[in-house]
Parts: sequence; C-alpha cells; structure tokens
Amino acid sequence: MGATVALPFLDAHIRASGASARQARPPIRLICIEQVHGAAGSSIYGAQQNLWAPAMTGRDFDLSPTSLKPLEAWREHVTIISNCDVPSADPTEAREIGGDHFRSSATYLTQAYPKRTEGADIECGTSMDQLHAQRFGQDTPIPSMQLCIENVDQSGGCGYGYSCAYTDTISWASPTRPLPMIRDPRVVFDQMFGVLGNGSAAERRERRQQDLSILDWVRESSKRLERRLGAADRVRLGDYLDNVREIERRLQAVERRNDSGEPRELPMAPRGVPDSFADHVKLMFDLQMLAFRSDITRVFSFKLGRDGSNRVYKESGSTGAFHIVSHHAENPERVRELAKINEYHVSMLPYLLKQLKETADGDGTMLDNSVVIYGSPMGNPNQHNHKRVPFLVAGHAGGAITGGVHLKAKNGTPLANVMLSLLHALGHDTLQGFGDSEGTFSWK
Amino acid sequence: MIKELALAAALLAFAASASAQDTKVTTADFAGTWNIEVMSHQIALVIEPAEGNKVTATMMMMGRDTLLKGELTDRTLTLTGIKTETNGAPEPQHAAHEPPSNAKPIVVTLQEDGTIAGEMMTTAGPMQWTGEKLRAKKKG
Repeated sequence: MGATVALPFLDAHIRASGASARQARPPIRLICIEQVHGAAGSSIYGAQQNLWAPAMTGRDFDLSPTSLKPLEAWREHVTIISNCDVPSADPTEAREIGGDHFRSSATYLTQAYPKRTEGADIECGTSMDQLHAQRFGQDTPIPSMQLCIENVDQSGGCGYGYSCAYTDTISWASPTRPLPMIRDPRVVFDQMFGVLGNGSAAERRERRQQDLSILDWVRESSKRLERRLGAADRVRLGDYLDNVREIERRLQAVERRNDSGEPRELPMAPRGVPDSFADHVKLMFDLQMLAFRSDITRVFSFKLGRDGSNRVYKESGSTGAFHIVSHHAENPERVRELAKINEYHVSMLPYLLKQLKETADGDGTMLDNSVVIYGSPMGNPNQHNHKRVPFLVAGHAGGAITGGVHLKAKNGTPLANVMLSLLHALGHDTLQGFGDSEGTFSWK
Repeated sequence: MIKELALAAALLAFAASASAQDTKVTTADFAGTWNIEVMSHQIALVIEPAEGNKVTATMMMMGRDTLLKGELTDRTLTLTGIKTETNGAPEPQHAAHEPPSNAKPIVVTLQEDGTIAGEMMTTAGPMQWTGEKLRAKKKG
C-alpha cells in the first residue's frame, strides 16, 4: 500500500528551484472565519459601552471594555474595522422579512444577495476565499478547504423559503455552487494527506483501529530524505513530522473517547468531533497550520457556528443558549451576557495567531504572509439586523496591511468595500468590484 | 424684551405644532411593505390603500399570512383580521383559519419620522412594536 505525506517548506526546496530565499516570495495564505449571531457591541447599548469596537480609532485603542480583549497581546497584528454594514443580507421584499438567519451566512464572504428559493435554482455570489483559491490556490494539491464546527449538512428548505445551502456554507465556488464544509477533523486529516486515495476502506479502518500512524507508511522514505538534508532542514522536518503525529494522536484519542460508550455532549456528531468547542476549534486550527506548513492548501474558510444554534459555551461564563442569549431584548445585563460569549469565541484566535507567528516563512513569519479574517454578517442579533457588523483582520498580507489600528468606517459603508480592498491586498490588483461594493476601503 | 422673546418662541412652537397636526395623513402614507419588530421578531406588514379611508393589509410571519382590513382615523390605522393562510407552512396544532372572536385589533400610528408604531396582542400579552418601511434596493 503506497502513501504520501506532504513536506514542510525547506531550504532544499529553494536550492532545488534555483531561487534565493529573498526571491522566493512566500504566497499569501487566507483563513476566513465566520461566527454567527453578530455581536453584543452592535446593539445601541453595546456600542455605547464599546463591547465590540473600541472607543478610540487609530493606534491608541483600548481593548479592555471590548470582546476583543483576548487579542491585547496581538494588537500590533490586528486591524479592527468597525461600523460596516452587510446590506446584501437585508430583506428586499415582504416574504424575506424575518428570514435573516436563513440567508446571513451566504452573504458573509460573497457580500451578494441570496435568491430566496428552496429549489435547485439557488444563487448568491462567488465568495472571496474562492476568488483567492481560484487565482492563487492552483499550485497546491488542494486549492481550498472548507471547515466547520457545527452540523451543517441539512437539506431542502431551512426556513422562510430559503434552501439550507444558504445556511450550511460560507464558501461559494460560483454564484450557483455552494461548497460543502467538513466538520470531522479526521476527514480533514485524511483529505489533506491523501489517505482517502490510499488503500481500501477496510485497510484504513484497520489502521485506525490499531492506532497506527500515516507516518508508519512513509517511515523508510522519510529516513532516506533526512540523510540528504542539511541540519536546519532536518530539524524542520523532524518538528513537522512530530506535529503530524501529535495531531494524529489527538484525533485517535477523540475517537477512542467517542467510541467508549461514555455519554457524549454531542451524541449526533461524528466520532472524530471532540465534544469541547475549544478542543474542536484548536484541532481544526492545528490542521490548518499543518496544511500551510506543507503547502497542501493556502486557503481555508472556517464556520464556527450555525445560525439559530443553541449551543451553550459554559467556559464563557454564560450558561445561556447562544441563540436565546443573542435575543437580549436590549436589556443591558443580557447584552453583557452575549458579550461574554463573543469574547470567548474571540479567545480562540490567539492559538492560531501564535502558531502563525512562530512559523518561519521566507524572510519573516507566516503571520506576516497571511490574512485571517474574523467576523459575522449579522450586527445586532436581537433585531436580526446587519448594521455595525463585527469584523477584524489579523496578519499582514505580505506587508500590505500594517495592523495595530482601529479603523471606523463612515456610516452606511458596505463591508464589501473592505473585502474588495482585502482582495487587492491579497494580490487581486485588477478587481474592480466585489459583491455590492461601492468603492474601496483605506487601510489608513 | 424678554417677554417679547418668550411670546415669539411660544408662537413659533404653536405654529410648528399646528403645522404637524394639520398635515393630512392619508392611507397612501401607510402604503407599502413595513418591517415590524416585535419581541425580537420581524414581521412583514404589507398595506394597500382601498376606497376612501379604508385599507387592506397582509401580515406575514414564518410562512403564515394573515389578511387584514382597516380604517384610518387621524394618524392611526386600526386593523382587524379577516383570515389566516398557511402558504405551505406547518399547520399549528390549534390553527384556526378564522381569527378568534376575541382577537384585538392592531393599532398602527404613523410617526413624524416616517416610521410606524403600535400595539398588538401576542401570546405574552399586548406588546408595543415599531416598523420601518422596506427600502427598495437592487438585488445581486
């Protein structure tokens, strides 16, 4: 049985291509993260109390009252963009009123109006992650990957006459082609390492049952390779293979726990899905880092929740169900409870940013050469509106984005303007418009 | 001098108030699709002028339409139900196609800023609501 394991970027690759490290400009990687149900800071009370966006624009912003507090140590790498709207998610006719949860996610990365239908004639727009993958993802084994944390494989109509396709994914390869998202980290791992194409289903099952590693398949060839590498590359390769094995061990531990017969918090979730939100998110981030280090793919979209989800995030300090808490009735105490959940979700980001920062990439780090966006297409979830939506960018896009700044858009600025400028920063220089953009957005 | 200023201010206030009161509100001012927010839910209310000071209206919520009729008095429309259509939405267990005989009318008042506000009965009792007219915008 043959198997392949992608390699991390090594000095040997540069020598083999005849380029110097300076000439080999690293590609810009993109991770687009969506959280549903907007933010506490998008309500009138929440905005007054700066529960999302800081009071000060510019570089001297204070994160302490905001849900972005967990990013304090990362502030120089973060660009907060506040006061933007997502008008493409607003209703345009009577029957669309109230259906915001069923169309929001489709608008996040497309900034396009989703056609209200439950049939096969779904239509929205091409998402920004896919525009990037179609142009810059063709040199990698997988152009892009789509990941999620909650169940998104519903079919038919989800509500208010909208197909579940609009709720289930944030990635659209074309206006009529929504891409499925993967919830099970095991499936992500197997796809990344081509395991699905190696051996029969029975052989793969046997390997898992025996807790064998994919590295066992390539042990001899990796030893041969190691002997031909320089000292620095040998360390890099060793760290990388250790990392692959470590992630595999964690996957196996989750599967053993879920197969043990012990009660699960998420009984309907696949066996590879940890019950803990944080464990699941971290595993997915680790897989994204693994993919970036080995250049399996350069583009990810990552959906942290599903609209209408009533998951409880006890670690946030809130014991309420997410959707119910999001309908805070503008009550200050309840708005603050939602802010706790918002902060908890944001607190996942440093785990990813740390790894990006610690990974060397060309002359800098992978954080220098990446863009991570985090936001929601909803503003105030109590009103289901799409005004003053939460949004931030981490990373520097190869120097195109300075970071360390809070930029407040003029009232009524569509988020599409920001995304158009982001695409320009990612190298799509000639793009004239994106979604319902009305112009570009200045990073200064 | 102070007395003169006070009198002028009072006259101006009276004139402004009289002007607002005198602005004739017609059923055409209510015509259109309204996005009503009540208890964190959004409901569509489509109002069409009929003869004289009368209107017909449709309230749409979660695939269920309630047909209404109403009459304008001063700045206030009073709407009462005619019947409910389910439009393929699941039938509630105690669904009645005719509104219950004890259903209270929906009172709609046009505000100075062009929005509407009012009160309607809900399962949680009478609730205040506000509504904005749906803006026409391009699709795509």
